[in-house]
Amino acid sequence: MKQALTVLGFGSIGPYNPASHAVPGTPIEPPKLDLALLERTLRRGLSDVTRLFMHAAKLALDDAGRQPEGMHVIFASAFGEIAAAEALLAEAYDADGSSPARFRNSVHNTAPGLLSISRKNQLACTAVAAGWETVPMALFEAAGQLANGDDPVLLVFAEERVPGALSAKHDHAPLAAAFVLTRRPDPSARQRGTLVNLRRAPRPSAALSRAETVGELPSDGLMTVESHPLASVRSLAQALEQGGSQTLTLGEGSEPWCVDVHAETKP
Amino acid sequence: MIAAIGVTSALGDSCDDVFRALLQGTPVVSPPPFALPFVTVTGSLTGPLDPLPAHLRAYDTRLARITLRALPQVTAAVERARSRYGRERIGVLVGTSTGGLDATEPAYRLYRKTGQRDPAFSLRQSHAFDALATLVRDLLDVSGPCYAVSTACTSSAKALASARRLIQADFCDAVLVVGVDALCETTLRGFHALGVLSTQAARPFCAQRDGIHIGEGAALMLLQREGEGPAYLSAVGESSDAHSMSAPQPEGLGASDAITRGLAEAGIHPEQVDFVNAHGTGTPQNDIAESRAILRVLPAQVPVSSTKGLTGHTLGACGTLEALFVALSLERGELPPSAGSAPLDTGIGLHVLQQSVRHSVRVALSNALAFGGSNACVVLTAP
Repeated sequence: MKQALTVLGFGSIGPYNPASHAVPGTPIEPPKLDLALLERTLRRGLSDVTRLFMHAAKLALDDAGRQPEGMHVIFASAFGEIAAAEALLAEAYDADGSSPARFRNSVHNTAPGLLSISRKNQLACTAVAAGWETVPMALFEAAGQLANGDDPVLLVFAEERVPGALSAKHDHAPLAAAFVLTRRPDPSARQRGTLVNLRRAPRPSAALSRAETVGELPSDGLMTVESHPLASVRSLAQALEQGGSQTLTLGEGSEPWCVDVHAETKP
Repeated sequence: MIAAIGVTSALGDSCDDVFRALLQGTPVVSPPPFALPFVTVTGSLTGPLDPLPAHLRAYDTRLARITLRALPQVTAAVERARSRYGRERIGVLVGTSTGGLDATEPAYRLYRKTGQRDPAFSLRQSHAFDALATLVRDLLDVSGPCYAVSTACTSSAKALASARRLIQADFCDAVLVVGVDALCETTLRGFHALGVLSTQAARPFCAQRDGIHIGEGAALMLLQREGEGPAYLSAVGESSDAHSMSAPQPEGLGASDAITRGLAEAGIHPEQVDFVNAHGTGTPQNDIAESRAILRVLPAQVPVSSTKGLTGHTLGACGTLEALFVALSLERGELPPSAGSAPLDTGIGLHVLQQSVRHSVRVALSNALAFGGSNACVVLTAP
C-alpha cells in the first residue's frame, strides 16, 4: 500500500467490561450505544457486535461529516456474531429447534447488511475475518477496494464477548472502532490523517507489545484474557487522536504487519 | 488469469469427474450425516475424509478435511507461483459462511452435557472463519495477505473479487481463493426454520420447485497476474439489495445491478454474454427474482442453468464452486443442464437449459446471492 489512505473521520468505543458491575472501581455500565443509523424497526433483537458496529460507525461518520449513503462498507471482526452462533447451538441442544430470526441475523455480514437495508444503500458491502490479523487484513481489503475506485470506504471493526460455553480463554472485552477512508481527499475538507505503506514489520517492536495489552481488561480476578484480536485498532485510533507520525505494528505472530500513521495536528 | 483449479463436491473429486457429472445432470443426494428432527436430503461428499496430521489437530474440522481433499490439485501451481513471485507475494483468501462450525457443534454439546471442554477444539483454530486460511497459508508456505470473506452465500464469489483487487492493487501477484463450506446441523436447522428446505433434491426454475437442499464442497482457484489457464476472471460485480436480511428483492433490482456492474467492469456488452450460471436455489422467491434480474440486463435467449439441483446449495462455497464449473464450460465448450427444471415455471421467462449442449462460450456469468441482500456476479472469459 504505497498510496496513502486518507482518514476522513474515525471513532472508537471500549474496551469495556460488561461484567464489571461486581468489581469496585471499574465502570458500572458500558456507554449507551447509539443506534441512530438504524431505523427503529431494525433495532429489535440486535447482537452486541451489531450494536457496537452501529455505534462506532456513527462516531466515524459524524467525525467525517458524512452519511452512510454512498459508502462501501466493510465489517471486520475475528468472531463476528459469536453470541448468535452460541444461541443457535443452545436452541438446538435445549429445544431441538432453531429461531428463523436469529438464524438470519447470525451471518458475519449481518451488521453491514442491516445498515444497507436501513439506509437503502445498494453499494456493495462485505465482511472479513482474520483472527489476530484482522486489523491489517481489513486494511488490505479497504485499500484494494479504494484502489478499485470503490471510494469512500466505511471500515468498521467490532468484537463482542465470546460466550463462556464456547471458550474459557477468549473472553475479550467488547471493542469497536470505525474509519472513513478515501484515496480521493477533497483538499478543502477536514482530514484526520493518512495511513501509508502497509507492509510486513521488520521485526516485532515495542509498539506491538503495547498494542497487545490494550484490549485487556482491568484485573478483576474473573477473567483470563488472551491478547485482544482487535488490540491494534485501538492503537490506530489513539495514534490518530494524538497527532504526529509513527509506525504502528498491527497484528501478532512471527511475521506481524505495520503501517505508517501520519495524524493531523489536533485542532 | 485463473491459473489452476481444484474441486471436491458431491459430484466428484476432480475436474473431470465433476464436469462429467454436471453434463449428465443426475442429482447426487444422500441423507444428512447427522440426526435431525425433520426430513431432507444433502449433497454430502462421498467416502471418508482423511483426518489432518496429529500436529494440526486443532485445525481438524470437516471444513479443513474437505479443503485438503482438493488442495493437492493446485499445490504444484502454487509452488510454481511461489518460485516465480516469492512467498510474500502470494495471498490466501477463504470464502466460507460457516467456518469451522461443524467442529463447534460437538464441542458445545460435550460442554453442555458434561461441563468438560473438548481438548481438541480451539475457538481460534477450529471455529474461526480465518483458521482455514491460516492453515492453507502455512501448508503452502506463502506469506501474503491471508483472510476470510464471510458474507453468507456470496462469501467465495466476493473472495474472488477481493483477490482480484489485491492483485490489481499490486499487493499480490497471485492469490489462492478457497470457497468451502461443510454440512453442519446449525445451517440445516436454520434453513428448515425459515421454511425453505426441501425434502428432495432442489429443482431450480421448475414449476414444482419447493426449496433448497444443502450441499458441501470446496473449490480452489489460483488467480495469477499472468500465465495460462482455463479462463480469465474478468470482473466481479457486487451490490446490495438494501431490502431484507433473508428475502430477495422481488424484482431482482440488486441482483441486476451486480450483473450490470460486472459487465461494465469487464467492458462487456450484454449481447456478448454466451451463458449464465444462475444462483438458482430452487426457492419460489429466488428463482423469480433472479430471472427478472437476468432479463433486465441480458437478452432472453441467453442459455441459463443452475447446478444446485446436482450439488445442493453449497452456501459460502457456491460462488467459487460454480465459477469453477463455468470455467470448465469455457475450456471444454459444453454447457450443463439445469437439473430438475422440467416442467419449467412459465413465469420464469429464461432460456433454461434442460439438456447439456455443445456450445462455444467466450463470455459467461455466474451469480451468487445471499443473506444481507448481498449480490455478486462473477464474469469469466475465455483465454
